[in-house]
Amino acid sequence: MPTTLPTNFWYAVEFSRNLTKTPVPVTLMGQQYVLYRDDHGRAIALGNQCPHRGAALHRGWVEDNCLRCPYHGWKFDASGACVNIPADLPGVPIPKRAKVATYPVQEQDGMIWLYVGDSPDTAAAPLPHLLPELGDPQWRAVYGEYTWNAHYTRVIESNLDVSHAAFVHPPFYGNRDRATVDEYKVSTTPYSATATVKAPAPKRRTFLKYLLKEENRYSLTTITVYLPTINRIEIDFGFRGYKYIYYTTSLPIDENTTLAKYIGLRNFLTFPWADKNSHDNAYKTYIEDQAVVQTCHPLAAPTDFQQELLVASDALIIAYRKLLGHYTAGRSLSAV
Amino acid sequence: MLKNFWYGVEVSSAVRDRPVSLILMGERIVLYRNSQGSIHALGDRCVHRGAALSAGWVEGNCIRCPYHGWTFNSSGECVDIPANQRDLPIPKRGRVKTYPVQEKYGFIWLFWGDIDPAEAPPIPDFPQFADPQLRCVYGEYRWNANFTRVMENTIDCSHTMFMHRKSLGNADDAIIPDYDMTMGEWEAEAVLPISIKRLVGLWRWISRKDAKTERVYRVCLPNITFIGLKFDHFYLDTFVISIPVSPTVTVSKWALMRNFLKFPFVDAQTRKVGVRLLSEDERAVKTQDPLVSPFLSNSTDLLQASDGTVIAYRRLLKKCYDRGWWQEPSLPAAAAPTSVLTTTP
Repeated sequence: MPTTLPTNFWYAVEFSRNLTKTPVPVTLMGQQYVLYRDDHGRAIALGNQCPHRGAALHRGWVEDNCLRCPYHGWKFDASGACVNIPADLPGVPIPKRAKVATYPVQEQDGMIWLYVGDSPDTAAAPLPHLLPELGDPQWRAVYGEYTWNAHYTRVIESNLDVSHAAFVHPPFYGNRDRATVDEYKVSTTPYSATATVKAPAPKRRTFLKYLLKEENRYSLTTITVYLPTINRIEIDFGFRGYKYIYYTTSLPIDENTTLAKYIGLRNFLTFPWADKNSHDNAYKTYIEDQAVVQTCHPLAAPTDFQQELLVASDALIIAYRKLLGHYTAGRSLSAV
Repeated sequence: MLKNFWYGVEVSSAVRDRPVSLILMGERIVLYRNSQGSIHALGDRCVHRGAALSAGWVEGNCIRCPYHGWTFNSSGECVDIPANQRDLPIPKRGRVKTYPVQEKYGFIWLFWGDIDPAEAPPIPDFPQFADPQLRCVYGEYRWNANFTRVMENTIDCSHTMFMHRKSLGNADDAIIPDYDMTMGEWEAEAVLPISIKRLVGLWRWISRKDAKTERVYRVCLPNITFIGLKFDHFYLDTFVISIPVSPTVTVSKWALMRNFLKFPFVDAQTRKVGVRLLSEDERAVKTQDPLVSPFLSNSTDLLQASDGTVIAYRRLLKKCYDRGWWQEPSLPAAAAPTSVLTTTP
């Protein structure tokens, strides 16, 4: 169990649609897992190291609902027990220690959720259901991922940041003279925080400029963080009910690497040809954010409120750090 | 590293209208030139959310953080928080550290220490920089080695025959005649003849037969080394500042000055030779053990008479150590203390 992560939580680790009979690896702060789908469509999660000689099981293959190690063909069933050691003579019993760990798995909102902790009964938070729009024919979804050179807490905070756009994202540069953030209210649960903020519209060069022609138009953005890795950003353009939803999980690969997997949903221009534009916007935003987020020091967002100076416009980030501090109390999030 | 000294940290011409980042033993510093042309050094970490100010930009006398546009003046005070309501005062904690800086010899010097910089050892005299006859090229080299080992390498006068045979040329023998050290309060200097009589490449031109030769090695605390080569009336001077980035990484920035072949087209060739010599050295320097030169006792390394310059440098280090001017590398920021939550979320 990784010691630098909130435990007793469900982690959204992979897109449901990516999981087939081909095993896929998952890394959380250096800890490795392997996921695969059995013949009944059930998602299975095991520890990724073969107990025999340490090979990564995700390089192997699925056979009779079991996972076979690519090195010497040891075969593990969904309960993690080894059921076949090809090099052993027939009749030799399988050693008791020949087993790998298993982890609880669920599917929701287009994601595979892996439970990291003692037992799902002790979960600190229920599995969230934050994406009812997924699957609704009025909404078009795109899927994407990218890797940040940053600690996952800094990535999550970049998704909660309501005051950086005029400085980091070129379409908003024109708003530097009105960068003031109106006071906003944060509502919290024991494992999430949400706020709605009003922001001046960007000066987009892409097709969005047709949606946001007027100078003084404001968009309403509802931003949520749900521990440990989920962000949901819903932008209401204030124009014919058009909305864009960015739903993402920020997976901690190691102290300085975060894998973001996102689902982008829109209820306008739902034609497939507009998907590329949606991807491009998400990618550009990521590149612009990463350029500055990767310089943040220390690596992990400090939860002590002494090292950094948060102000009123950072209310969402303050709420996130309080939650984070609560679930990681007494433990350092980062060595550096 | 040593404290209470002026460190050469950058070539002046490298800091123009954009901020430049500098790391001194893990401490992140930003150098910038304001619109009046004067140079400033601040802690390179925005007090708001930890972004590097060096990724931002200069506005007048101030530097602006690239993340949320917080603006800091040259005294380190935050003077603008764009997202704040207009009537809100800037919090008292809204400031970053500042460092004294000055420019001299075409380099930027930063004071690192806790005494009054005016009482600190001054930047040493290098009359060479005042000589209009000298043509100067700049370059830099990154070493995977401790700065003490890098400093010693530059003033080491007996390794040339072994590490640089291909680049400089062969001598008849590698014997170093006895030489005298001149000790200053914070520096040491040695003068020797040059044993290579026939150089290769660019140097061939100046190394005529029977030339009267001389090489000067000079080391000045905390981070200057100097090699002056003389073939009759031809001079080739190498001035190096070695910046301790971390215990295992050192960046050397050098100025090569020559009073011959002063055409600009020779500059590139000179620079190339400089880099080649250093990379030949690094093969040995990065393997040295222990990491930091053992300057407190001479028991680890076996130093000979020919190592007089190195012995002198270590003596200077020891003197600083005895004064309490040796600073262990700063450790990573302490682990975040336990939650300061007053209410359970």
